[in-house]
Amino acid sequence: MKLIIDNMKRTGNPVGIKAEKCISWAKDLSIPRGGNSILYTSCMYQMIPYIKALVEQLEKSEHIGLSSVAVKMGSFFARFIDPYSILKPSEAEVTRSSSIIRKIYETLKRIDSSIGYLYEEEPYSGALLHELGLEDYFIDHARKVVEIFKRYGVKKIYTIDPHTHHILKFVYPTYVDNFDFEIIHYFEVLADNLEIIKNSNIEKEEYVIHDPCLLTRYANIIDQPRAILNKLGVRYREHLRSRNRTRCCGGPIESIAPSISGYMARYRLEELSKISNKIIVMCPICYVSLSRVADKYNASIKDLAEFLG
Amino acid sequence: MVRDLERELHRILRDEATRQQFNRITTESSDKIWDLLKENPHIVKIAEEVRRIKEESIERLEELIEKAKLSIERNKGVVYLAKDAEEARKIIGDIIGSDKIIVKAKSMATEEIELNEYLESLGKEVWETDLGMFLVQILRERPSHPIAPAIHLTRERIVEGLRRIGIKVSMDSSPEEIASAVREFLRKKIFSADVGISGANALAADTGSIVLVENESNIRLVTSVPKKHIALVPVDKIVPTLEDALKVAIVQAAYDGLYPPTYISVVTGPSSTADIEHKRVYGAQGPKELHVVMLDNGRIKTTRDQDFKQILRCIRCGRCVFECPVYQTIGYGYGYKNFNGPMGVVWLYVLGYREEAGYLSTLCTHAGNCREVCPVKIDLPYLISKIKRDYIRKIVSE
Repeated sequence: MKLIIDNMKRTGNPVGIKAEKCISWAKDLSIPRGGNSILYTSCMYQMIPYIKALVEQLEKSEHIGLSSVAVKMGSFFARFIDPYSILKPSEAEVTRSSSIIRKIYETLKRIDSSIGYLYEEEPYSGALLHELGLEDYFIDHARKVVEIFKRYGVKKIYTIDPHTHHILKFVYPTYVDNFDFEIIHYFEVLADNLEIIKNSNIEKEEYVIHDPCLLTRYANIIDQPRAILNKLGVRYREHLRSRNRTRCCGGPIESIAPSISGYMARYRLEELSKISNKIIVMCPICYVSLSRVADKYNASIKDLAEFLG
Repeated sequence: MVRDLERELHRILRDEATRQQFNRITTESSDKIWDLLKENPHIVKIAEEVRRIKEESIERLEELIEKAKLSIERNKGVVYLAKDAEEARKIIGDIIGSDKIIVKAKSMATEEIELNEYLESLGKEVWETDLGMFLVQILRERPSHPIAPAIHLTRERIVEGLRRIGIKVSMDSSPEEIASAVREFLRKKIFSADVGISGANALAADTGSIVLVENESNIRLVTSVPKKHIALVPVDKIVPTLEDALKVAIVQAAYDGLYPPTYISVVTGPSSTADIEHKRVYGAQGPKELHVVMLDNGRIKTTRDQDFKQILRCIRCGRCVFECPVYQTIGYGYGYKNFNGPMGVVWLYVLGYREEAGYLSTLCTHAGNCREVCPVKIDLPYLISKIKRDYIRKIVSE
C-alpha cells in the first residue's frame, strides 16, 4: 500500500512505470496532442507486462487481506525494494500491449478522425486507489486528473479498459463537481459503427467469452462486444455464467490476497475451459489474472482488441 | 479478532477439499436459483414489492414497533424491546426462569446475541433442531450460510460428530439414514423441552403475527410442542401487514432456492380454545405462553444513516453469499461469527464489528454479483467500499 502511494507520487501510476513506457505505443502514429476528443489509456494496457511480473513476485508472499500488521510490514520492505530492479517484464508482453492500443486507436480513428492523445501528460485515473479504499488519495488525484482534461479542452473521452471506464463514468462524478465530460467505452462507439470494423486473420477455432464484471453489471455493456465479435467473424460460445452472471477473474485482489486471487482465477478458468480453452477477455486485469493459471488448463487468452485489423 | 480471521483463512487455503466443496455447492446453487427465478417470473415481481415494503418499513420503523407491540399484546402475547444483545439475553433468561431443556429453530438473531453460550452458562440444555445448525452445534463449528449452515461439512465429520453424542450412524450411512437417526434423537429432546426459541422471517405490525418459513418442520415442532415459545425478532423484520410478511417469506425461500417452501407458519399469540362453554382458554395443544423479544441492537440508529439503512432491507436469503466470487472460493473464510459473504460483511459493520468487517472488506473484488442478485437490491459493493475506506483510513494513519 505504501509502495503504491509512493509510486503514485513519483510517477503518477501505481506500478511506478515511467511515462515513456506509457506512450511508446503511439510512436510514429502522429496522433494530435489533446483536442476535443481523446483516447484515454490511463496506462492500463501498458502496465500489464509490469503487473504480470509484479504478481509473480507477490505470489511468493503469503499475506492475505490488509491488516495493520501487513501494512506496516509492507512499508518497511518498501524502503529497501526498488520495484524497477525486481520487475523484468517480457518483451513479448510489451509488444502485445502496444499492439492492442494501436489497433484500438486505428479503428477509432476511422470513426473520429480528430481523436487526440495526451502523451506524457496523460494521467493515470487513480482507479486502483479507489479500489483499495485509499479514498483520500484518490479524491486529490481525481481533481488533478480533471484539471489536466480541462486544460486541454477535452470534452469527449474514449476509454479502452473497464476499470478506467468505470471510475470515470461512475465514480468521478460523485467526487468532482461539474464533471461534464462524455465518457465512452470504445465498444459502444464501435458497435454503433460496425461497418468500419476490419479484422485481422481470424482463427477458425471456437472461443469462449469471459465478460468483465465492471462492463457488464455496472455499465451494462454486454451486447456491444458480441456485435463486434460477430462483425469480425469470431466464432464463440458462452458459458452459463457470462453476461450479467459473469464470474470474477480474481484480478482486483491480486495485490491484497495473491493466493485467494489465484484460486479465483483457477476456478473461473476451470469452468470456462470446459467450453473452450481459447478465452476472449476484454480487460487487461482479467488478462493478467487468468494468464497466471492458463498453463494448468492449456488455455490461451486473447483480448478482443487483438482481433481488430 | 482480525488475527483469528487471518489464521482461519490460511487454514482454508490449505484445505483443498473444503474449498472444492464450497466452489461446487455455491455454483450449483447459483445455477439452480437462476433457473428457478426464470421459471417463476412472478416471484421476481413479488421481490420488487418486498423491496418497496421494506423501504417503507425502514422509514416508519419506530411507528411500526409501537403498532406491533399493541397487536401482539392484543393477541395475548408478551412483548419486549431489547436495546442490545445483553438486554435481550437477560430478558430471555428471565422468561426461561427455572426451565431446563430448550429447543431452538435456526435463527441468525440468536446467534447475533450469542444466546446459546449464555444459556449454557446458566446451566441450561440447549438443542438446535435444524439439521444443519444441529451439526454445526455439535461440531462446535461456525455456520457457513444463513439458510444452509453446514454446507462446508463433509460426511466424515458429520458422522464423527454424531457418534460422539451417541447417535448410531456409520461412515456407510446414507444421508437418509443419518437424517432419520437425528430425527429420533431430536424428537426426544423436543418432546421433553420446556421452551422453544425461534427467530422470525417477518413480523406483521397490523396483526402481531410472526411468519416463519422452512422445509424441515422442526420450526413447527419447536414453536408448538413446548409450553413456552420465545421469538427473538430483530426490529428490521417488522413490516406493516400480514400480507407483506407472507410475501417476505415467499421471496426469502425462493431466493434461497427452496420454492415452493414446504411450510410457512403464522404464529399470532399462544394456542387457545373456546370449546368449553365458549370461554377462551390459553394453552390448548400448542404453547400456553408466547413471548416476542424485539431486538434493536443498533438498527433504529441505522435507519438514520442514509447509506447503511439499506441493509435493513435484507431478508437473510443468503443469495448474495452463494453468488459472491470470494465466498465461492474460500467459503466461510469470507465471514466472521455467523455472518458470511457480502451481507455478512455489512451486517458485521452495522452491528459494531468494525475491524473484522473492515478486514474482510479488503478481500471484496467489487465484482457486483451480490447487487445483481439481491432480491431487495441492496447496493452491497458500495456499502462494502465505504467500510473499506473507513478501515484503510484508520490503518494507514496508524
